[in-house]
Amino acid sequence: MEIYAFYAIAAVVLSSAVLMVTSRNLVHSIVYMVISFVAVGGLFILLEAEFVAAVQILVYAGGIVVLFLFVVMLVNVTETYQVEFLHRQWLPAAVLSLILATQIGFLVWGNAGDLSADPSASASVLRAVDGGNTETLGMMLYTDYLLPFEVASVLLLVAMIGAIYLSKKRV
Amino acid sequence: MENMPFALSDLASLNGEITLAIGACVVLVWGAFAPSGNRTGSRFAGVTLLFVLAAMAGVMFGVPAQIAAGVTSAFSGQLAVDGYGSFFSALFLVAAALAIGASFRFLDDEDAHAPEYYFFMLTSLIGMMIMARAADLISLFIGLELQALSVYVLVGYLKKDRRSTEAGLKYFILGGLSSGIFIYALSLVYAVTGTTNLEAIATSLAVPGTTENPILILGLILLVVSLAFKVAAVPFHMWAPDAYSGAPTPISLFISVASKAAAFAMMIRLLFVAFGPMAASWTALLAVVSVATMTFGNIAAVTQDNVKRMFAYSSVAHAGYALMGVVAGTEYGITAAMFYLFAYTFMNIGAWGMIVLFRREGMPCDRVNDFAGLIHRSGWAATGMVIFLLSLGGIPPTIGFLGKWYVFGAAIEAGYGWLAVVGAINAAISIFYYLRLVKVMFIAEVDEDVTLVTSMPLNVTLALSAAVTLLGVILATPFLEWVQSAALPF
Repeated sequence: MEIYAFYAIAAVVLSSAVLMVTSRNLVHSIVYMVISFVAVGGLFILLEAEFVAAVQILVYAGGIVVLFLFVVMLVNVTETYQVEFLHRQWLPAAVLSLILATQIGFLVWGNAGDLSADPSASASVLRAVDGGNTETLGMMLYTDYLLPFEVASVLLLVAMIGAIYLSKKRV
Repeated sequence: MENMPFALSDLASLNGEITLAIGACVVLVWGAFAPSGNRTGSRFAGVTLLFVLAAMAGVMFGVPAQIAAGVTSAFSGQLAVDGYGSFFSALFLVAAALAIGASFRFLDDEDAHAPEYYFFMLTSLIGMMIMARAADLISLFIGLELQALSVYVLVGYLKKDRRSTEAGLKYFILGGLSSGIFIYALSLVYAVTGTTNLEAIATSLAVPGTTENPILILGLILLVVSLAFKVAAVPFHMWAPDAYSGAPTPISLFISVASKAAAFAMMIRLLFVAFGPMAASWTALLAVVSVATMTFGNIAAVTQDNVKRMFAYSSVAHAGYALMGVVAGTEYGITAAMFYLFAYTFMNIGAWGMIVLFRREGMPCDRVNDFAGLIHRSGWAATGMVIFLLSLGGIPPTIGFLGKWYVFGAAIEAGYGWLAVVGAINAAISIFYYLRLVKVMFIAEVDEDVTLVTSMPLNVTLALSAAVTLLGVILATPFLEWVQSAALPF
């Protein structure tokens, strides 16, 4: 059952991602992006990562996409402005991508490698600890991963100050 | 969850980074309240320098005391407490101190806002130090991004200068792409090993059969690609000439040594600690990258008429030489690569610092012909430049010669004699374009439109760099012993 749900959601993710890239209208692209993001949230639910799924939908499908739409409307992209899908470098780009895809394909399916890597260390840890997914994540963030969590706060400050500095006309 | 979240001793091992973070906040808040006067720029530079030196004291005295007390890691294994991390932290701080010396007058002359400039310099230092010390993929990535984000803004700092803005944007897009490749590689590695801790990854790889896992191989290839991006190695170097030549010159000076050294610090720790069991695979990849980087960097530099672009390509080539030490894969190889980065820091800062001196009608200028007749203007400047150029070319008795001597020696010792031969041919090519600049300085007629804008801090930066570049030979033994003790953890 779960595997069919996975294939269905994965099909939505991939097809909407392709449509997002190929669509000529910016607003359409963004709508396809929302669909792709929500579907990725579905994948997280299948993996029993409810917290990440919620964050995915709230932050990406919610916040980030609204930001994109705002930018498109603020810079006043008129209906007539159509983004060109194919530009002059499409042929070399297509050939190189094809070669890369073939190589990765051979590597992954050509070898008789074990695709299902041992998941014991990752997913089950979060499930096994009593309390929900979110509590466990919070505990991990404030204990084992305290250092990256704190450094991330400096990172956010840098991003904020950088954006303000670069976008302001006169500081 | 039986262990404590963290102990106070963890904070002690982070003293350098914490000092810098406090400094960043001080500069930022003070900058928001300070009246916009004429001399404020140098005041901010002074305060920043003070915090950098304080962090230096923490790294040089605080961390060794911890190592002596038997501490090897902090923050639940996120941070390694070792001489290797301290060596690179000290190198970044020295590079920053010298870059601040070069920035003092430059910012005032460019009429640029000083507080944010020093804020981003301090935050990028925190990122670099985390990159050199992280013992876990998550911390490593966060440190890398902190460094990268700060540097993107610094490269595009001169908003009135179109070249600077363009360079910042290009660097941002390509840097973002390489970070994407990097995090994808890390996710594949995690998928196979189930851990983000570098030592635990090595343990997991030691299980027979794991290293043949196709997903892991793909992860390792992508990892090497993204690391090559970060050290600007061919064929992933294309951002470097644009970013280095468009950035404000003191920033080109800073990132061409500190960011590059940070990327090398991260690369060496990742490959040797986590991927030691797969050394045969990545040394083969990196050997090819090293040859391509040296050769392409030097050949591209020959044709440049712009000094900043020439030095940018030369810094690409120098990454290739340092990679030889990594390719060697031995303890001697690591020591050689670290010594090379140490030597490169001083000679490259000196050479870039010289460009800061030149101005044509008040604007920074960076064409080869702007150096015309330097000997007739300032004997000191011409002598200094010759020292830096000879050192970059690897001519004895400079520190650059010693650096090349060690990396070539490490390559030969590890059975990569052909790599050393390619390196030697490349050194010969590089001497051609370094000496072309010397020729212009000594023979060509003085261009009266060009002025030399000196200032005391910049002179100190240049004098210190020249002193280390020249006296490196005398001090080589203690330096090498220090580097060797720092390379020991591997």
